This record gives sequence, C-alpha cells and structure tokens, in this order.
Amino acid sequence: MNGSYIPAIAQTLTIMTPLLLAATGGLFSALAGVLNIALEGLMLCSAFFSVVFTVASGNLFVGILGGILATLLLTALFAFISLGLRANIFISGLATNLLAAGLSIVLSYAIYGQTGSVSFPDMPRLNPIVVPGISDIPILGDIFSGQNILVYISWIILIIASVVIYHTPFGMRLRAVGHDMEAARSVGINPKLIQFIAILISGFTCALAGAMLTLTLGAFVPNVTSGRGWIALVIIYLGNRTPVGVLIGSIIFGLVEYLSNFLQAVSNLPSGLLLAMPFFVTVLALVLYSILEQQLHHRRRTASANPSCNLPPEDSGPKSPASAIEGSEARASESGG
Amino acid sequence: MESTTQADKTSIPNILVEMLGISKVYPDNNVTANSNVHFNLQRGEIHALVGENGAGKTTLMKILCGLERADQGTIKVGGRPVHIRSARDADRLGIGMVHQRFCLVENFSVADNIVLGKEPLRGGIFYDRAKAKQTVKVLSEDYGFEMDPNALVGTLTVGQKQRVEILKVLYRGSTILVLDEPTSLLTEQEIKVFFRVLRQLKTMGYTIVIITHKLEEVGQISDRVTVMREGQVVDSRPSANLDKATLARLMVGKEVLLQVEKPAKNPGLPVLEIRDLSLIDPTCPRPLLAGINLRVRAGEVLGIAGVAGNGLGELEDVLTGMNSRGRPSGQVLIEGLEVLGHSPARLRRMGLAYVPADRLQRGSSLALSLSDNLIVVNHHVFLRFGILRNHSISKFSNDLIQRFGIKGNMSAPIGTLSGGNIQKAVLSRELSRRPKLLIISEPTWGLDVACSEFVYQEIIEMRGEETAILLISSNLDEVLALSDQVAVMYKGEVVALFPNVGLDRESLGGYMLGLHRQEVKEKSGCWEERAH
Amino acid sequence: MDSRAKSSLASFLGIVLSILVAFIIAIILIFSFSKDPGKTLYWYFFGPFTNPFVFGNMLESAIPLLFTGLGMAVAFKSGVTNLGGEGQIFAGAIMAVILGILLPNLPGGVGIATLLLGGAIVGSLMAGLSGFLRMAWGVSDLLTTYLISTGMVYVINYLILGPLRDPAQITIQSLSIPAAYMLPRLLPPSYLHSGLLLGLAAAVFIWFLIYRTHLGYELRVAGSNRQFGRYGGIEVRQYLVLPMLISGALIGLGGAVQVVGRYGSCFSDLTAGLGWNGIAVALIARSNPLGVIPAALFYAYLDAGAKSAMINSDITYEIASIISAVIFYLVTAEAAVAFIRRRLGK
Repeated sequence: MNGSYIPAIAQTLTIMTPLLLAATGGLFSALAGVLNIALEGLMLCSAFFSVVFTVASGNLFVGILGGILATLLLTALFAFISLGLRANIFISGLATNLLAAGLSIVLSYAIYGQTGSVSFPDMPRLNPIVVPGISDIPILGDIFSGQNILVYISWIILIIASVVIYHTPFGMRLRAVGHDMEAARSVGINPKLIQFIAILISGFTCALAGAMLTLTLGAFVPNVTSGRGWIALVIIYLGNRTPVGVLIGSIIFGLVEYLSNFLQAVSNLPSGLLLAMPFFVTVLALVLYSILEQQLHHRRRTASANPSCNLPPEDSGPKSPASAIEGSEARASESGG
Repeated sequence: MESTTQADKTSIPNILVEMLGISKVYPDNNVTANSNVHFNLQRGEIHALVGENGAGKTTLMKILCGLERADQGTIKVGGRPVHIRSARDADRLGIGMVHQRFCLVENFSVADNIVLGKEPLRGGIFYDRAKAKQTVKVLSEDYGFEMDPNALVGTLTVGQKQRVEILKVLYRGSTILVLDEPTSLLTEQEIKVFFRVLRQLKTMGYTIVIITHKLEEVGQISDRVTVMREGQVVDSRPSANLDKATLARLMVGKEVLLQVEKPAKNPGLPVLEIRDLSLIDPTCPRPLLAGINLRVRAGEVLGIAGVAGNGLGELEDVLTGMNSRGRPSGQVLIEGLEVLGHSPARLRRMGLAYVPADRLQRGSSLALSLSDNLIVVNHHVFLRFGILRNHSISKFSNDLIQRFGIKGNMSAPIGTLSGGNIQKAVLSRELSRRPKLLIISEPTWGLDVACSEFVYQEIIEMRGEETAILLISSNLDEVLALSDQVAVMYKGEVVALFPNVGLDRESLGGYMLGLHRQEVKEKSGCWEERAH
Repeated sequence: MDSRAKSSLASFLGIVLSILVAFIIAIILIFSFSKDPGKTLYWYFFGPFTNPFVFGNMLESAIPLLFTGLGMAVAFKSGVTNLGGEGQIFAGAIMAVILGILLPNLPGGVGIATLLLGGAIVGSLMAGLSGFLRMAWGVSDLLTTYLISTGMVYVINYLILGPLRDPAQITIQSLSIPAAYMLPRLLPPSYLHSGLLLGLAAAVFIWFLIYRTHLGYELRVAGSNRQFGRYGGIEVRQYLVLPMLISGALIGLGGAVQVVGRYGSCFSDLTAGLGWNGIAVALIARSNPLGVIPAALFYAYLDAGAKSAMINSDITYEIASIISAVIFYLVTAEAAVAFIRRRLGK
C-alpha cells in the first residue's frame, strides 16, 4: 500500500463540506415539511457577501459573519414570503435563487466594477490549519489535520444538529410538525413558527457552505455554487431525512465530485462530460431509491402497521371540506329532508 | 325542547361547566351545526352526548375545547364566564379533548407523543427523555394502563393508541375530558377495558363527556345523557332507567315528513350483483367489508342505510373502481360480467353512472369551469376530429343548467358556485346519462328541501326508465322514501335486507345502531320471496 | 359583481400589483446603484422604444420567451413540474446545429423544418424522461428535470468546446448551420426574425390544443384534480408523461428557433436564464397560452430596458433578474390576492 489514497480522502473531505453544511441545514427544513429549493441561492448569497466583507475588513471572521448576516436576511425574506404571504414555496424558492444570482452580480458590478469573476490575491483565505495532536498520528493525521476551519465546523454542526433534532424539545416539535401538522397543532405547537426557524437554520448553514466555496478560492465567481444546493436537497431525501443519511450522502457525492476532478486531471476524458457525471449519478440514485422505497412500501403494506387503518373508516375515503370541519358528522348533515 | 329536569337541579347542585345559548353556523356551506344549545356538565360525572351523524355533538364539544368559535352563547366554568379562544385556553381551564381521529405522531414513541409540547427538560435545554419515560410509566401505572413508553405509536393497536391520547390529556393536567366517539374503532374486548378505565377516572374525580351514537353504551357507562338532533338539544336526563327504545326515538325523531310519489312497478333483470364481496385491509382488526351479497335489478332502487363508518364509503369505492385501500375479494357483476377491480373508465363504458359522496374533491374539479365539469364523462361525444365542438357543449351545458336549475355561469370555475349548486351540477351530469346502473351516495347532502325533492323526482324517473339504482345514504328518511328494498350495514356487514314495505325509522334505526340483526335464514327468505 | 368576476379581477390586480412593486424596486435599485439615476431611469423605461433597432431587438428577445413560457404553461396546467428549461432549450439549440451540419444540402424550407423538429424532439425526450420516471416509480419530477437538464448543459458545453467547435472563430462557439437554413429577418437591421410569427402561432396553437381539443381537455382535467379525472373515466396516468413531452418539445423548439433565427450556431451563454424566465412568463400569464404573448413581451421589455440602461448608463444588466425575482415572489402570494379580494368584497 503506497498511501496514495490519503490525499484522496483528505480532498473528498474538503469537497464534501459545502454539501454537508447545506444538507445539514436543509435537513431542518425538510424535517419541518418544507421543500426548500432555495438552498442554492442562499449558498450563493453568502459566497458573495463573505468575500465582500472579508475584503472590506481584511478579517476572515468578520467576512464569514457578514456572509451569515446577509444570508439570514435573504432567508428571512424567503421564509416571510413563503409562510407569511403564503406564496407558493416552490416559486419563492426559485425567486430566491434568481435574486441571489442577480444581486450578487449587480453588487459585484457596483462595488468592483466587474460582472465576471473577481479575484483578490491579497485577501485572507481559509487556510489549512494544523491540529496539534492529530497531525502527528500517521495516516489519520494526514487526513484529518490540515483541513480548513469550516471543515471541522461542518462536522461539529452535524453533531449539534443530531443532538438538536433528537434530544431537544425544539427537535421533537420540528419532527412532529413535519410528520403530522395536525397532531402538532393539537398540542399547541405553532407549525409556522417552527418552519420559520427551520428555514433560518438552513440559511445559516448554507451561509457557511457558501463562505467555504469562495473563501478558499480567494475570489468570487458568478454561479460558484453550480448546482450544489440542488444536490444537497437530493442528499437530504436520499439520506431518508436523517443526519447519518445526510453524512453518507455527502460523502458519496463528495467522492463523485472528487472522482470527476481526479479523472479530469489524469485522464483524457473530456472534462465537460465528467462535470455532468454528478448530476446523472444523482438521477440514477433517485430512481434506485424510489424503486427500493416502492418495494419496501409494498412489503410493509402487505405485512402490518398501516397507519391509515387507525383513522375511522369514513375518513379513509376522500374528504370534502365539510368533513374536515365536522369530522364524522358531515356525511349526513343537512340531509333531513 | 326539554331542559334539565327539576330533580337534577336540586339534588346535584355541583355544576362544573355550563354552555348557554350556543349557536354556530359554518359559513362555508351555511350549515347550522348548533342552534341555541344549552348544555351542562356536573362535577365528577360521566356524561353521554348522543345523536345521529350531523346532530352537532362534535361541534358543540369543539367549541368547549377551543377548536371552534361559537357565533353566540356563553360558557361558564365553575360558575365563572370564560372565553375559550384556543386549545391552549381550554388547556388552562383543564379541558382536554380526545379526538375521534387520533392526533398522534406515528413514528414517535409513546412517551414522546404524550409529552410533546410540554416536554420535561434536562439542563434547561435538552429534552429529558428518561424523565419523560419515567413520568409516562408512573402516569400509566397510576391509571392502570399497561403501556410501554418506548413503543412506537405506529405499532400500537387502536385501543392502545386511544390510551395514549387519554394519557396525553391527563399529562397536561386536564380534569375535564371530552372523548369524541371513543369506542368507534375498538373491539368489544377493548371497549370493556376502556370503560373500566373511564369508571376509574371518574372515581378519581375526573369529569368526562363521551360523544357516541351507540345506545347500549349510554346505559353502561354514563350517569347522565344529553340527546341532540339537528343542532338542538332534544333532552337531557339521568341515564338510569332509560330504555334504548326511548333513546332511539329521541335520537332519530318520530315524524317522517318525506313522501315521494313512487309508482308501483315490477323490477326487470338483475343489473348489479354482488356476491360475497369482502374488503380486507391486513392491518385492520376487522374486515372493512364482510361477505356482502346484494342484487339490484333494472328499475329498482336498493337503498343501503347505515351510520357513517360502517362500510358505506368502502362499498361505494369498491363498486365504482375508486378503491385504493386493502384487497377486495368476491364477485361484482354488471349484467353478468365480472367487473371487480375494473377502472372507473371501464365501468363507465359498461353503463355506470356514479354520484359520489364527496362532490368537491372527487365529483368535480373546482378550478375548471362548470361546463368542463359537466362534460367529463361524455366529452367524447362532443368531438369532431379530436376537436371539442363548443356549440354543442354550450347547448348541452345550458340544457343541464336550466333543467336542474343550477345557478352559475357555465364558463366560471365551478369552485365559485355554492355547495348546493356544485351538487346539482354533479347530479345533473350523472343523471343526464340515462345509465344502466346508477350508484348514488348521499344524494341530498347539503341541499335544501326543494332541491332534495327535485333530486328524488329525478331518481324515481330514472327508476321508471329501467335504471338499476344503488342508493347509499345515512339519511334514513330518503332511504325509506325512495327504495324498493332496504339493506342495512353495520360494521362492514349487511345485517338486514327488507323489501320496503311497512318499514319505519325506528325499526331500521335499531339495525343501524347494531341493536338487532336479521337472521341469515330470514334474509334469504326475503330473497326467495322477492325473486318469485 | 358576481364572485367569478371578483376573483378574476382580484387575480388580475394581483399581477398588476406585483408588476408595480417590481417597478418600484427597479426604481429604488437604480437610485441606489446609479450615479445618474435620471438618465438611467430614462434609458431603463424608454430605451427600448428609442429606435427601430432596439425595438426590433426587444421583440426578438420575446421570441424564445414565447416558447419557454408556453412550455411552462403547459406543465403548470397539467400539474407537472418542469425545472429543466435551461437544459432543454440548450439541447434543442445544439440539436439544430448538429442537424444543420449533418444535413447541409436540404432545400431551405425543409432544412429549417428538420432543424426545428429535431430541437423539439430532443427537448421533448428530456422532459418526457422525467415524466416517465414519475409515472413508473414516483420519482420527483421537480428534481429530475433540474438534474437531467444541468447534466445536459455540461455535456453540450463539452460539445461546443470540443467536437463541434468552430476553429475559425475567435470566440468559443459551435460550427454554424448553412445560411440557407436561417429564418428571414423582419425588421433589419434589428435581429427580429420570422420566428416571432412561429412563436405567436405556437401560442395560438397551444391555446387551441388546451382549450379546444380532446387531448387538452383531458390534460386540464388530470392536471387540476387527478382523482376527479379517474372518477370521470380518464386514464390519468399517461398525463404525467404527455404534458412533459409537450412542454419539453416547446422549450426545445425555442432553442432551435434561437439557432435558425438569431445565432446560426450555439455557444455557452445561449440559454442565459431563458428556462427560468419562461417560468416567470407562465406565472404572469396565469398559465394561459394566449396570456403568454403579453407576458413574454412584458418580460422582453424589462430585459431590453436593463440592456439599454446598461449600454447607455452605468448599471449592469443583471438588475433584470432581481426584478424578475420580485415578480416571482409576489405573483403567487396568496395573501396579497386574498387581501385584494377582501377589499373588493367591501
């Protein structure tokens, strides 16, 4: 064994970090029952603003903080329009992506006079940090030391997320809202508030993900996210909406991206085709997942524990608005001719 | 309308809850659910609230529990007027409701479900799952429930789920428990256990309202009973010495106002035959439909009566090809051809017309125009080279609109019409087809008297034109007025089948509520008699 | 006023309100980013009408929006989701180029028709695949349309950079189709070409298809309420695939029209958000195919205004995408429409 796999693992860890961050935050909105397709735009927003604030302040910490604040503002706008104004969340998600793309370029032009890539050779970047202790361990040291700070933070956030989701009242309520909004409402939980917070959390982690993309680069490139938000969304659903699933999914998609980068460097395969690979792999994964789930569902149906059985039989049929109001009493109301 | 008897007022002065002059109209469909209702609840009693479907029981209790707002009336708890605007307000007053449809998160554990929204904390931030489990364990032992706090709610039986719901209310410290048809899904055994629990709660000082339409339960469990009919309180009295017959009469009322002229006629050949039809959902304790044998002949109306939840909806779905739940078995024949499992499209080609109970989601597409809705079944006839002939469609639509008196513009989305007019539109579409077989479910739900009568006339007219008609309805009056034969369903079975001669509400009501059951022999005798 | 008139008026006012707010945002943006807001405002709002050249170009930029808007309108009407517009329009364009190169000697009209047909078929297959995946295994069409489209964008970019690249050009673009396959210009020197007529015809055709034919009727029924469709005897399953095929065909056709009408070749930036803007156009049109015509023109106007302000003043073109985002945000905001309806009710 020559150890050449070590930089591969280390690089995969770096590559997967934005995916892991975005997917971890997106997990919160997914658990709350919100299809958040704005992940892409939220990442892009922070990718831009963290560069702006870093360049302006000369300080990475201030830069990341600025990126987070700007992104949270956009997230709040998105959440308000979707939940407060009751706009179709899918359309407002698209709008957020569009807004982030447009705003970043308009501002880039306004501030730097350029609409294309802007690089700042002198700005501070996210550099690898050597973790004392770990760095001395053979193999592990090479993999886990020498990553930038956000890589470590992404894992910490994943752990915190697992704790919050499964071991706090908020996590309980979050999952309750996503699984059964009526059950949650019946014990006095405000589903919209929970969803609002969940969306904000996804905005926060997307902000870190976006910062990771540009602050390692030392430049802002329009559309630097290039579909990562969407892939994060797929990861959440393929990962069955669990933190572990999100982790595994991020590793797999990190590997796929690493492989396409790697092949680009060493093989004659055209890079355009390799860049397309993650997207087609994702479609394939989605199809396999759906087939598998369908079969599982089928088996479950024929075995036991079908939740629909617990409803009164008259509710299993279609519902008229009236039956939603009056429960079982709708069937015959006003019929005493 | 009688109110509480004199004896009650003097002997038991301990009134805990008073609801005075409660009125509630649902604005969406203009249904008066409660009209000037007076209701009171005494401390430490089990109070049965009974009535037919649609009598307004659930609405009244939802008002008490803050889930609906009354248009008029006041509520006093412990003699003090209170405003109950939300479930939280009710919670603070110690009122908790267990819904007929469980409000549980299926993939949460029992303990998680019970403490949800009021979780015990560890270190000020973390959910103390251990403490939750402990609390739930102690709580369930206190009340004699055997309950594993770790079990996933999705894996529990219906009876166990119900106990989780009750524990949920008890955990929140409620002392007034409102149970909406708590026994409707339980087995006999589970009901016994459940009643034991209720009695125990009563001895511990809880006050309980149990909404039901099962008469035998009133005597078994309650101290007092309030009977509602058509949004009003008919009677309120002690349950002791109250016989079922009296109760049944109070519930369904005596007078039959409905008279439809129905010319005598001999039925023709069988159109629809149902043989041993069962519907089994492997996850349900009892079959949804069990061994149903029925036959409808040309020019005959077979009315199926039953209380909601006893298989009427399932029968409707299976016969019309809309069923998506469980596995049906047996045979369904239309003019001798096996059709069980056929798609609605095939059934319609064989001459089925179908008016569903659910007109808004199934019977119409609210976003489409009235005329688009009217032509869904027969839009093929308006085609010339694949193009819709607008002129004929307008003519057709106008014709139906005028004939059925539908108030609405034919190019307006049908969702902008009133409920009654949507219903007329659905009816007009299905009745206009002169089908071989009409399956019609709850035909006059939400219609006013004039409209209902019009619908009845149409049904009778179709009968005259040799259509076989299966009428599914929880409205006894219309079943009696229209049917040539009447079948009664209870718990997925046909428990009675009579020719409609000399039947009345009270006797049928007994079958509907599961008090009586026709012997099999008697049933087949009836078949023989009618066949010759 | 009857309830029907009231609700359609409320919905119309909702659109007007969204557009007004978008304009206000535009004005605010111009005031904050431009050093000479008066001049920028002038060019933004009146620039597109200052001479036949820019006016023609504005109409020209409405052409692809007609096709993508129509494609999205069909998808919305039928209850399916097509987020793959970018890839489909790009694929339609590259297909037209490939066919033009492979078959250089057809008679002009036949050649154009072949190229357009090829573009439509490719777009149709791409979207149809997502429809099929949803029908067969319930895979979310929202995700697959996007993913397939994005993957295809990379593949097509590879084709443009590699096998199909025109070495004679300085800029990176594909080989060009024969000049005989180009559509005639309508208003030289502007780029406006007869594809406009094709787009208008497509709108009328799709309107007719949806509102006047058997197929369109079943499609609307299945799209508005699948249970009702099944109940009425319509085989609704196929209506997950068919609308996708039509939607993709229209969008792919739009890409091919860009090639035969405007560019003659394919290059990286050809789509430039047309897929997304098609969604906005369909939303403003409330998914009515005839409504797509004014909506596309309006969109083209916003776009042309941003371009003219960019050329003649000191703001950048992407301001247009911010304004469309605002329209997106507001155009489906139910609360706003409900508010207007309440006001009308009084």
